[in-house]
Amino acid sequence: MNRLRRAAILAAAGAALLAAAVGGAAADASDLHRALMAIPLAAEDRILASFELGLRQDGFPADDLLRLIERLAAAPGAAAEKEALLLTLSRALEDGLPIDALLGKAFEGLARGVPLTVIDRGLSQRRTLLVEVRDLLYAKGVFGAPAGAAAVASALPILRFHALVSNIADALGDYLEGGGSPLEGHLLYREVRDRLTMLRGVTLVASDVDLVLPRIEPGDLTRIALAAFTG
Amino acid sequence: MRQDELERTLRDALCREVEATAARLTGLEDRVIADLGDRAPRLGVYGWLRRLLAPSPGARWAQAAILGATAAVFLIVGFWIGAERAPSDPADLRAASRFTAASAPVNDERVLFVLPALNAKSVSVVGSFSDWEAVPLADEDGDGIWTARLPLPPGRYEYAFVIDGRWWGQDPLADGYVKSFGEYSSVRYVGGGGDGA
Amino acid sequence: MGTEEAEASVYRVQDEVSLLRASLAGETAAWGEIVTRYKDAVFGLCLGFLRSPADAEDITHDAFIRAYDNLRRYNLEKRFSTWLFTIAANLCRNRLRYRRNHPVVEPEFESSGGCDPAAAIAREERQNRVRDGLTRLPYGYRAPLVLRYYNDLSYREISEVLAIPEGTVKTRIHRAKAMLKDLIGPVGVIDHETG
Repeated sequence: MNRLRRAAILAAAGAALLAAAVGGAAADASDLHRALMAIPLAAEDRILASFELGLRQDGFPADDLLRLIERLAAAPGAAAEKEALLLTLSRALEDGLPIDALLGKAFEGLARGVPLTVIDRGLSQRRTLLVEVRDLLYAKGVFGAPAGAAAVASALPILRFHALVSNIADALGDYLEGGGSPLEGHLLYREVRDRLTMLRGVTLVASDVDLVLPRIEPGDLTRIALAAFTG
Repeated sequence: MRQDELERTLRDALCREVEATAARLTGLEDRVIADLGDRAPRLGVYGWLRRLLAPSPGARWAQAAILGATAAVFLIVGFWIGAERAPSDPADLRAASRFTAASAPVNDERVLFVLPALNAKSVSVVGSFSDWEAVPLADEDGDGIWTARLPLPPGRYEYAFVIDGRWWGQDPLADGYVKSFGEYSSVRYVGGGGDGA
Repeated sequence: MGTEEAEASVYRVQDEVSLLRASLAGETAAWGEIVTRYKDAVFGLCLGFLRSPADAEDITHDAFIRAYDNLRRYNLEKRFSTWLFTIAANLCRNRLRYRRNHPVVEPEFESSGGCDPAAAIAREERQNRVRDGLTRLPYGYRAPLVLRYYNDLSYREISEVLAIPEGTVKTRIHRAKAMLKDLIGPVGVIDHETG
């Protein structure tokens, strides 16, 4: 390694130390790792690897994840059940899915004192919904492109794409959890339409909603809902 | 077809598939090496530190000393800056309610949560805006009407009230309701107008 | 012999652990030898999973890049092949997800002759049907079958690579074979093969 590289590394290390000392930086891999150490895990490597993958996502909710791990560590329940929950999140991250809504559900479940296995069941179902919804959007020609990627028609910036996926999946999840039938495609569609319309121009870009809604059909949503039921 | 025959055929079929198309793999090693360039496998923090400290024999102590001195300088400067800027107790950062008027971003709406709860000793609201941690409501005049005004950025929120430890999820002022883990939560939409996010 | 070739020949006789340590130290030529040793196995896995030689080639290449980048996470005491196959399997799964609604043209496979034309044809026919059946199997059933009959992994290793329980692996393989039999259908009356 030549002198120039060494100097550059020293400078970078110094800058990193500076940033760390100033504090207030968003949670990073070492924070997550430290928090995970409070829970005895068999698959720690896999979980940590998936978190590091997630940290590379645009807008990744690192602080929320850190808080969730801390809360999970403090919650009553078997370590294996906590691990199962973390693994559900890991799988979602390995698939490159946005986990914001999953974290919210986990927080809610913990706050309500719901058994961990029940929380995990709900998260797994919602993860399946995220996968299926994303596939549906792909099938309809709507993609997410990372920042800096060449623009393709119907390729949205990844954050906006994830916001669509997340909200559609969440609307379906709420409907199913509320006892709605997966076979009522028109009801599923209404839930999705209402959710997207309420958020149109608020947290969802209006043109994104206008792009996606006409492409979704009740039959698509029934298929997705059934996959979540059986998957 | 017998079981063992199927297995054999399967093996053979898979092997022949690979043979038939394996020409594609010629030179793969070179392509992989070329794409890797002269990068080393990604090292963790310890890997980098090891590299930093072991460039040449005999120079390790000097390197360690330089590194230590540089680190000390940066840390001192950093802590000084940090002390000037950051709250004194890191716990304050989180517990300190995100809902103080002074810190509310400009486009946050001050959303009213109100619940009549006569004889209640404590009422709070929990929701997706607080990671489902309790935000207390107040009943200053003791008339049994508990309120809080929370600055919330535009979006969709699920929430419930907690009255003396009991969850109540059907706020009459809600925009809608969902069932979550078998219990009701209320939904509010905040903000609107114009192209958001 | 040039220096590159000399280096390469040094690596050719080294054991796997030494190669991996050398790779970790940044010697990409050592990694090249790892690629040579494992590329057929990884390619076969990808081809089995993805049913497209072009995609299989891409993913094989990507798998070796990703494995190299993540080498520090590999535990030298565990089996390297399982770890490598896991990376490849995950990449295949991601590619399938993306590709699900963009079907690929079925590849043309070369047929080879044989001493006995009739037997060769029957064998050919059986293999074609098996390949075709394999393509039509759902991914969840196809993947364990490939790992078992191409990569020769144990049930335990398959369960590690695909991250599913061992019991599930056995069930899936059993069902996959039954499905294949159905898909293949009757293969003709004459069956010269005895062994």
